[in-house]
Amino acid sequence: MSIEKNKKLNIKNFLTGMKKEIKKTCDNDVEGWIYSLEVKEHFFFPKNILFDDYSYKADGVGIVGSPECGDVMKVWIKVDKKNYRIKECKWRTFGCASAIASASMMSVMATENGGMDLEEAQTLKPQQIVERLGGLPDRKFHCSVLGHEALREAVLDYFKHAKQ
Amino acid sequence: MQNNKRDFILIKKTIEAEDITSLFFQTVDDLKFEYTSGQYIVFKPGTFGGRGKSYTISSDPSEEYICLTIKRKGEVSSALIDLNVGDKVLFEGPYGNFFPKIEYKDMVILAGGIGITPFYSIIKNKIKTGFEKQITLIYSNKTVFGTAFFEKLNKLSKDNSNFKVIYCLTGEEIKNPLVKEYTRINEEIIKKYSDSLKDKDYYICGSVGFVNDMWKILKNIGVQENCIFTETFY
Amino acid sequence: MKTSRIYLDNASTTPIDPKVLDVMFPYLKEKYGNPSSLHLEGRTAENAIEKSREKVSSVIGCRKEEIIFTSGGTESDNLAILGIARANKNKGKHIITSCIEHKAVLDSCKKLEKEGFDITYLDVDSKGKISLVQLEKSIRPDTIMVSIMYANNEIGTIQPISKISKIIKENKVSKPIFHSDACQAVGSLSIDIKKIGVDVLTISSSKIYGPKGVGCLYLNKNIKIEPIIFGGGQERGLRSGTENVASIVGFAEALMISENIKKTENERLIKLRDYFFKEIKNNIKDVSINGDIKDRLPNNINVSIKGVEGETLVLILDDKGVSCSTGSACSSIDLNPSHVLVGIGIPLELAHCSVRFTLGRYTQKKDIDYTVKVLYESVKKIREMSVRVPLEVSYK
Repeated sequence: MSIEKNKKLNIKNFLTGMKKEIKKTCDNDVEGWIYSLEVKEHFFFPKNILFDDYSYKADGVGIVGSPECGDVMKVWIKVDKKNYRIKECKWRTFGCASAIASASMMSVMATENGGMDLEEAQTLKPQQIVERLGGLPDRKFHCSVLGHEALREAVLDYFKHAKQ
Repeated sequence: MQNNKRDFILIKKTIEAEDITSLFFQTVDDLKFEYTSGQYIVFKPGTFGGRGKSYTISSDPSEEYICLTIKRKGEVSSALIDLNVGDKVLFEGPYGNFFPKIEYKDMVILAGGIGITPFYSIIKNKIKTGFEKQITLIYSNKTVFGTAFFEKLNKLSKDNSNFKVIYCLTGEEIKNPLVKEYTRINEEIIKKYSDSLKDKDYYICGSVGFVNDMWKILKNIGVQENCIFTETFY
Repeated sequence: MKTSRIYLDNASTTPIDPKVLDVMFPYLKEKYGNPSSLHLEGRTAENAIEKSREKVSSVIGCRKEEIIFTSGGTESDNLAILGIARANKNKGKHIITSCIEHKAVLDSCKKLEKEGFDITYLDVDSKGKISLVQLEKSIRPDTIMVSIMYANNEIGTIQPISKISKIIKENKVSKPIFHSDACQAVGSLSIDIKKIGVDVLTISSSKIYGPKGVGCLYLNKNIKIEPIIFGGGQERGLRSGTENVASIVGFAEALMISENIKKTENERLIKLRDYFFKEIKNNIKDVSINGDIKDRLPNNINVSIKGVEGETLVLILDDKGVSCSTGSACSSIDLNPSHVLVGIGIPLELAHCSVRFTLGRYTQKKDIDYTVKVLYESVKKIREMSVRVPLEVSYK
C-alpha cells in the first residue's frame, strides 16, 4: 500500500515538474528569438550607421554584394594617419537581420580599443564577428561574410588613394 | 572594382571523384587570365533567379588551362558540370584573397570535402615555386571514393618531402593503407600531425559547419586568430 | 513586447474558431473510440466522421464517398498528384502544372519526374495568371493530369478556374484529370465542384479557422487512384491510419461556418484590404503591389517596399506586435527569393523587399490603422540604414 502511495506521489511530483517544464518552454516560445541577445541588440539598436552619407568625407569606401542577391553592404572608414588605425567606421546595409547585426558589430570591433590597425582590418575573419555576436545559425552565416569583406574593400580603397 | 567579365571556352572534363568533376577552361580572347592561387571566379547562369555562385580555381597560375573542380550540388553547379566541351561561358573575377599578406610560414591546412579546391592550387603553386617550409594537409571526407585528388595528392606527397597529407575519413568501411585516420578532424589529430603549434599558419576551407568547427578547435588549442585563414563554401 | 498582437498572417494559418473548439472537445475527452471498432465507443466515433463527411460533401456539392479525409493540404496534394499519376500511367506519363504552385505540388511533380513522368510547368504572367492558350497547346495525347492551384498563397492571384476546366474538358487531344489546390481559396471563393468543374480538389482545415493537421481531398468517384499511405484500409483504403476524429469533426464545423459567413466576410475584407492598401500608398513612397489587383483573394496584400529587405521588416514589425510574412527569407543554400515572386518576374531586388499581410476574421480597422503607423516608422528606420539604389558599383 505504501509502495502504491509512493508511486502516486512520485507521479504527482513528476507531473508537477513536467508542468513547470512545459510552462518554461512555452514562455521561451513566446519570448524566444532565433538569434542571440547580442544579435538582437545590434539588430534593434545598430551602432555606427552613416546617416549623412552625402556629406561624409571618408578616407576609404568599400561596397560588396548586390541588390539582386538581397544583400549589399557599404562601409566608410576614416584612418588615423599617425598610427594607421581606423578612427571611424560607418556603414549602411540592405540586408536581413544578421547582416545588420554583423555590420554593426564589425563597426564596433574596427573602432574599439583605439581602433583596429589596417593590417588586422584586412584579415578580419567572419568567425571573429560571429563569435562576438554569440553565434549565428549556420544558414545565416553568409550574411556576416559581407561585413569583413566590405571593411577590407574600404581599407584597399584607402591604400589606393593614399598611394596617389 | 572594374568590370572584369570574360568569356571562357570548355576544353575538357575529367571526373575526380564521386559527384566531383574538374572542368578545364581557356579564355576565348587568348589574353592571359591573371589570378593567384586561392582565388575564385563567379558564374551567373542568367536563370535560377540570376543568383551567381562562386567557384574556386583548382589549377595553379602556371598551368595551361584554368580548372574549376565542382561538386554536383544544386542547379547552378549542375548547369556547369553539364556543359559540353566547346561551350562558352561568362565568368566574373578573379576575386578573393585567401592567402596571407606577408611571407608564408609552415602551413597546416584543414580541408573539408570540396573545400580542397583552393588548397590544391596553393599546394601545387608552392611546390612548383620551391617552397621549403612544411605543408601539412589534413583532409576530411566520407570515403576514398568521394575524395577529390586522392591519387594526385599522394603522388605530390611522395615526390616532395615537405608536403604530407593526412586523410580523415568519416564513413569508410574498408581500410586503405594510405589512410591513417578514420574520424572527424579533432584536437588530437591536429596536435598529432603539426608537431608544435607555434610559428605556423592555419588555413581552413569547407562548409559553414566545418569552418566554424575547425575555427573553434584551433582557438581552443591556443592558436592566435591572426594565424588562422578561413574561406567558407555556401 | 506588446500584449495584444495584431495577426496579419492568416494565409499561413488561422486561429481556431471557439465554436469549432467546442464541437471538438467531446471527441478529445469522453468520445475517444476508434471508428473501426464494433463497440459503442467505436460506432460513436464512426458516426461522427460520417456526419462530418456529409457536411463537407454538402458544401462541395459532391457525393459523400467522394471525400477522403487526410492530414491536410500537403498530404491531399501528394495523394492527388502521386496517386493519380501512378494509377494512370498506362494512359500516359505527361502532367501539366504551373510554376507558382505550392511546394506540395511542385515537389510531388519532381518526384514523378524521377519516376519517368514528363512534367510541363506553365509560365505565369506578371499578375500570376497562367495563359489559357499555353495550357491548351500543352495538352498532349499522353497528358493524364492538369494541376493548377485555385488561388495563390503568396500573391493571392485567383486563376480562372472554370475557364481552365472548360479547356481541359473540351479539348480533343486527350482527357486529363483536373486537380486544383484550393487551400487558400476555400474560405472566400466558391468550391461548388459543379460550378468550378474540377475532378479533384485539395482543401485544408488550418486556413479556415479549423484545427491544424486535417484536410480532405475531393475525388470524383470515376477516377483511378492508388494510396500513398498503407495499413488498416481506412478511407476506402486510400488513407490508412486511425482517423483523427476530433480534428475531422472540427474541420467539418469550420467549413460550415466559413461557408455561411463567406459572402459578408468577403465584402468586409475587401473593404478593409483596399483601405489598408490605400493607406500604405498614401504613407509610404516607392511601394508596388505584387499580383493581380482585381482577381485577388479578399484578404491578401503583397507589396514590395523599395530598399526595405523583407526579413528585416518582418522582424521589426514583429517587435512592434504585428505578425506578417515575407517571400524573401534567405537561407544559405538558396538565396533566391520565393519561386512565386521569381515566377511572376518581378525584379530580384524588389522580390527581396516583399512583405505579405493577410487579414482575417478577427482583423478590425483599428488594427489596420496601428499597422500602417508602425509600418511607416519601421520603413523609415530601415531606409535610414539601407544602401541607396541604384548602386554605383555591383560586385559578386
